[in-house]
Amino acid sequence: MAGIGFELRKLMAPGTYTAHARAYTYAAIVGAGPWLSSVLGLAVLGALAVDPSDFETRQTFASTVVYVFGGTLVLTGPLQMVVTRFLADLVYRGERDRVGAAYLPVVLSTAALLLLFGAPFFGGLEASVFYRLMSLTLFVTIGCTWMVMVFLTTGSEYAAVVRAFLWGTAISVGLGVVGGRAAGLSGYLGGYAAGQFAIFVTLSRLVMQHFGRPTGWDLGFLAYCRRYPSLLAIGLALNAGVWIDKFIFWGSAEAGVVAGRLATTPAYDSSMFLGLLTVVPAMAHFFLVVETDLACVVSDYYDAIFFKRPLSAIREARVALERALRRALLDILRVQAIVTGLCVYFAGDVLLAVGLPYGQLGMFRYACLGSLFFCFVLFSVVVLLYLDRRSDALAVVALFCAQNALLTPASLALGFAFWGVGFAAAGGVAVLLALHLLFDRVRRLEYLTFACTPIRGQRRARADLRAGPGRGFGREHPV
Amino acid sequence: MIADVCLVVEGTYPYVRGGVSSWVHALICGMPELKFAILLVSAEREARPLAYELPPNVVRFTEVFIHEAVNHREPTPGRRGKRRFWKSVDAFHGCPAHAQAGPFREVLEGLADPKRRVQTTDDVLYSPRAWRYLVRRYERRCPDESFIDFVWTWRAIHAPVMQILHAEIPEASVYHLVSTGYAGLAGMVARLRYRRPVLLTEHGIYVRERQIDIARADWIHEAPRRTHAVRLDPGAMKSLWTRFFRRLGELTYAHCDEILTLFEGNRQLQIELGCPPARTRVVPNGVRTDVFAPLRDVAPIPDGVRRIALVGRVVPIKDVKTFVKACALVASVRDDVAFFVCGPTDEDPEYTAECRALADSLGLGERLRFTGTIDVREWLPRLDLTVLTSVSEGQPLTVIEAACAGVPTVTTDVGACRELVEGATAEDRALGPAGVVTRVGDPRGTAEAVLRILGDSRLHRQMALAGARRAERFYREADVLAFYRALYERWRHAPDAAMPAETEAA
Repeated sequence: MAGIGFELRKLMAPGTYTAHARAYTYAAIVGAGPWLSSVLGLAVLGALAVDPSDFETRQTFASTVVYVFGGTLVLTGPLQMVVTRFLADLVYRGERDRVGAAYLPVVLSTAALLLLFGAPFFGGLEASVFYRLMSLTLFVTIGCTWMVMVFLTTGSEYAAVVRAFLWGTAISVGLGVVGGRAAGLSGYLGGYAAGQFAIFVTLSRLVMQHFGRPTGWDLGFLAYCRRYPSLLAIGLALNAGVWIDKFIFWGSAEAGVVAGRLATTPAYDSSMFLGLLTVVPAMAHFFLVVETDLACVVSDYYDAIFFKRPLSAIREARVALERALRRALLDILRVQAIVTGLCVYFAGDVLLAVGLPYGQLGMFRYACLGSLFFCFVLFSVVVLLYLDRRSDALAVVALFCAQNALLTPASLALGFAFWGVGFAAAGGVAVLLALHLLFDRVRRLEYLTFACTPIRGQRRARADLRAGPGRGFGREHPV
Repeated sequence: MIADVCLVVEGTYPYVRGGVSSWVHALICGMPELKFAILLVSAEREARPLAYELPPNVVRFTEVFIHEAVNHREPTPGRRGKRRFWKSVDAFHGCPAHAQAGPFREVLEGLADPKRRVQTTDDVLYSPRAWRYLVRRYERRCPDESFIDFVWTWRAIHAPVMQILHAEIPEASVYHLVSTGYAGLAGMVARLRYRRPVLLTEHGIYVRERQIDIARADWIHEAPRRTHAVRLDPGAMKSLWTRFFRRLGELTYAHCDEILTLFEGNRQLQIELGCPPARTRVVPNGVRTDVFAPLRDVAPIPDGVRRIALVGRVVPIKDVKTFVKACALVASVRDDVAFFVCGPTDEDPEYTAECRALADSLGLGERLRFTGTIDVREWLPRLDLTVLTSVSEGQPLTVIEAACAGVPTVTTDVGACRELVEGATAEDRALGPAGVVTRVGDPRGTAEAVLRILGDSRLHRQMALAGARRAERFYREADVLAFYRALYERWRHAPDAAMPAETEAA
């Protein structure tokens, strides 16, 4: 959904360096808002509030937040994919009024799903009732925030979104510090959750304002779940693919456990998250420039077909699409290769700057590389979905997920120096398949477009359509 | 059980009444000693009531569906020959009509022969190779037309073809097609599979009928023209369809051992459409003279009222409105005439209502009646004259029936009507006219002819006599049945038939 991306692009119109910087910052916040907010919040809280010697408190809090993010992303990933498609179709068909009506059902279903999984898990933490309650609240809030962002990317309210994240993060940090001083661990989490909840409420109100007060409930997305099970699978495999190496580490002997069941491997986890943060520039660029560009060339291509143009015009549009795609990927590579290269080269300085031990150097380097690959996997999947190649997109993310699940235990077994290799290698393999599929499909796009729209009423050659066993097709009437 | 004769019909017998269906029914009933199979080509699978009860000598009734869109994935033992197969397809599509039999046989074998099949329906409609071929055809034929329309027209043409190529075809000693088109294709597949002779009797000329349908069709997509100039060509997509049926017609003609039709005009049309003249022959419709001739002796109703009728369905093709207008003209001159429209009125209720309204507005009132379906045997003795104002006909049975019953006819000059009224051969013409032939859509001409016959009792008597003699001489159902019996006898026992391409090669 490139809706909000088009709005953000207008920010770049003056063409000045500051205009570009502003647009990219906004894009980063809109595209990776919850991530940035949490990392920032954690960092500031860590620096300001917590007694550095109190490792247990700090670890419990950080682990809770990590579990909240991992759990919500894997759980809501499938629904995010389907709802994205559902909203895109609504907007395409000009049924914007249904977007507002779909919001409450989507968020309530998400919340129900999160409660179903979150309540038993966070309810069983070895912590105070208030802490357990607050962690569950945070879990549901963050999960619902992912969904509300899906709705807002179809709109144009980027400035309000950015404001909501800035203010919410400020509240999180402020209340967290105050709460932490007053009530310790529970206070941190309570304050932090309150800020995140404020973000969610503000964004929900934005959806209501933007799409108007809904007249009823629109449950169309449920039909989409049945119609596009592959999208559910893509959403699951994509998010599971990013997290499964962490899950494997947490289940290993290397993990440390806090609050009874929050197993984490802080060294590995922090390297990986920091690595993921290094690709925020590429994400912002994709969101701001690539997705909007591609949305245009893709729709030009389909227009050429549906507006009854000759094949030569359709081919031209397809070639333009291929060219735009190649240029876009090179652009991203140019932006991100510099950032990743610098991070890899100056890894030691980066770790020092954020206060992580120098021993995580190798892990961090692999994380940077793996994240770069993952970036391209993600973009390829988005483009494949634009072209309605769901099975290909699923193949890519399934491969990524499977490779990560297979290679991570190996890298874990090989020892500390090889941690992170599994993630990077999985990304590398997946990116090869992704780019191959992407360019192959674009090259054969005319064929695929038509081959995948069969004749209406097409059906399998079932035995009961035959005139008799071993006979030709037709009906034999009794005489 | 192997049938003696397999009749291949499209969309008619035994579900729909009409000229073709009653002809088929008479043929089967007339030869109880032969075992018949019926292969009916229908659009889609649906439960329908039979319009004719199947005679006991029908041993198989197989129905196949062209719009079922089954994605057959039958085994392809010949798949190694893919390259060669698509070369044949290319040769078939690209070659002139007289050279197409060879490549066509290879294409047919590659798609419809279970032992040599090269490509499945799925391959033909959706494979990359088929796609490359389709693109090449598009670029060669109409590179500036809407591509999406071309693709869908291509598929709409080939999907039904693939259904026929996978259809169940009853085994029989001889195949008798009642039209070209999809029935013709089924006949060609039968010849390929069972190597038995194929005969064809065309009532209407299928290719011509399809041409008219397609020209009128609004379901075939055409790009709007950029200029306002009148264009005479029908548009690229329509011409794809026309060409398809035309090819199917040519191929059917090439694969049939004998090609029959009802009257000379149709035979000329067949030749024009590529039918080899040597294999053509005219065999008219026949009537039961034993039933209709005795009607001449039934005494007329002695009330002094003259009765004239249009016997036919109330549909636009019969141009009932012209008849109504002619009636009004006759009624203004003579007040001893009663008018009837005898035929089902439920086929096109809107048109029927228009005809009734027209009759009322012309002040005919009680003098013109719409009788609905009637028994002609009961009605013909009461009539003085039958009238036919159709804009299109084949060889209308009502004209022959009326003649046989001694009732003269005023008819428009369409189909075989002139032959029926004035005679086809010199010997036939010598019998004299059995009525008057008028122009299409000419109420005054029709009315004048009616008045002339009604006003001259000697002429009326002469025409009645000429018609009766003509019917008994040339249009006896018994003769028609005898002809077909001999035809079946000859071809049933003929040796196995090769495909035309093989004979050419030999």
